[in-house]
Amino acid sequence: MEKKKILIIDDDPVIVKYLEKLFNDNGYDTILAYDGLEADTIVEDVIPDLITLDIEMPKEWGPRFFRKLTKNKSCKEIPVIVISGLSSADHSIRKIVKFFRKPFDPDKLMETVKKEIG
Amino acid sequence: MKTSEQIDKILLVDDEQDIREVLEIILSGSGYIVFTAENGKQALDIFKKEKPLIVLTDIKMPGMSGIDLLRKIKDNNPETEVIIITGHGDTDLAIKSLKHEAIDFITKPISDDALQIALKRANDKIITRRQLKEYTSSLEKLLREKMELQDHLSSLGIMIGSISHGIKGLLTRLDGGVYLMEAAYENQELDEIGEGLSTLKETVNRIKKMVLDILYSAKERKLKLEKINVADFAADVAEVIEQKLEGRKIELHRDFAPEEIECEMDAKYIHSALINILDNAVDACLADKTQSTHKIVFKVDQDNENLILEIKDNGIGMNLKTKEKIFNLFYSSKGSKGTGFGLFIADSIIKQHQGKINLNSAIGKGTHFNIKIPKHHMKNR
Repeated sequence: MEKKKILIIDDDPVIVKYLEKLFNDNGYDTILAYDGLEADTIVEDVIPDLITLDIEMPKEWGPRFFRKLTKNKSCKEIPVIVISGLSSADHSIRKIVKFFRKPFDPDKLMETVKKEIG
Repeated sequence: MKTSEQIDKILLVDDEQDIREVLEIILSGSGYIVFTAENGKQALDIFKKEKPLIVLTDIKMPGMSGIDLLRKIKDNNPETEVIIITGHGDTDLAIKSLKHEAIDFITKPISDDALQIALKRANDKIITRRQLKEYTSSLEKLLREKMELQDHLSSLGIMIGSISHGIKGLLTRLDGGVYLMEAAYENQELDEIGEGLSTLKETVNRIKKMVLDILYSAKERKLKLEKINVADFAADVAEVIEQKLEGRKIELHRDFAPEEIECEMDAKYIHSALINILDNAVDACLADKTQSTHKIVFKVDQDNENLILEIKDNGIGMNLKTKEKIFNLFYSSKGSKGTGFGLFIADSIIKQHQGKINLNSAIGKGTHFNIKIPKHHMKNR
């Protein structure tokens, strides 16, 4: 069976690497994006099974990317997990699976991911 | 009698000279500066020139009537109080004058008591109006202060938010570094361990710097001014940056004046101000992907009064918006990397030394900081 793909979006390369390793170790494939613009281009070619997103990023701000994503038909149903240093989620973000605050608990994150996409 | 509030000038209008003379004596005796007029036209001229707060006018005069004069005065300055003098039995006219906002009327022959009562009324009204104005303006002042306080509180909120956001990001990086290191250690991947270690080191240094920055911005400490040999000092600063540049394609060029320069300053503080600016120059070079190699010039010079320090990079440069805000607390153009402390602190330190910091920058052209610090301080601030 093909591995499930997770798209990681965060402007901090260290955090991207951390998540990449964490997901790989748990048997997932990963695609990396360092801002919303990059993520935009990626989802045109590849449909990930899940997205983790920092809502505060330079260039394409997280919430705006998120709204665009929900408008895109093929991406509408992808579960999104927000991992952010902000203390609360923007109210315009409705369909997020879960909001993790930095620093997050990797076990709880994996639990959520497994529940969503197996 | 006059009240404590100073109401000096009074204008007296009557066509009968006897009455003018008698009233002038009484009013002067009560402490007023009295102006007299024998008709409405003359009265208006004096009124415009002298701006009395009280006008005492006869109602029946040839030419302009007392009521007409009353209306014109009220049009000109609604805060002037007008007392009307009526003949015996002119009740209708007296009432009409009240309709046009005369403060009171007195009938001829004028009794001193009636005059004093009317004057008191006028004075009271003027005082009340003045107090009302004061209350309104102090209320406005209070409101303004409340708004300012709210601004302070909200910027404090932003500050706490910004700090906690920065710290959370850095803590997540620490978690990440430790996780990567552990995995690498299990698999005995030495390269990965080395990489993880340098990530951890860098993050720890950033946390350290952030904490120190917070401590600095929380309390402006007194400068410890000492005479400093600038060449040695600048070499120290350059070395710190050169260590950071190891393995990167950025050159730090030292352009130090050959003569010996001495400057009175708090070396520790100027050191951290310069490191903050140079750090930014390094970041500006790293962010610029249009060139593969970069150069930062660190120039040290002097004029008669000042030590002149210049830091010039050929990195990414700033747009106008960034340039305007770059010295603001918590402003950062560096996404998750910036804390918005560095240049704010550099600017505060240089200002505390009574120095000046100038900035030239354009996108694609790089950034040039020019700092002037007086070599001798008249007085320790």
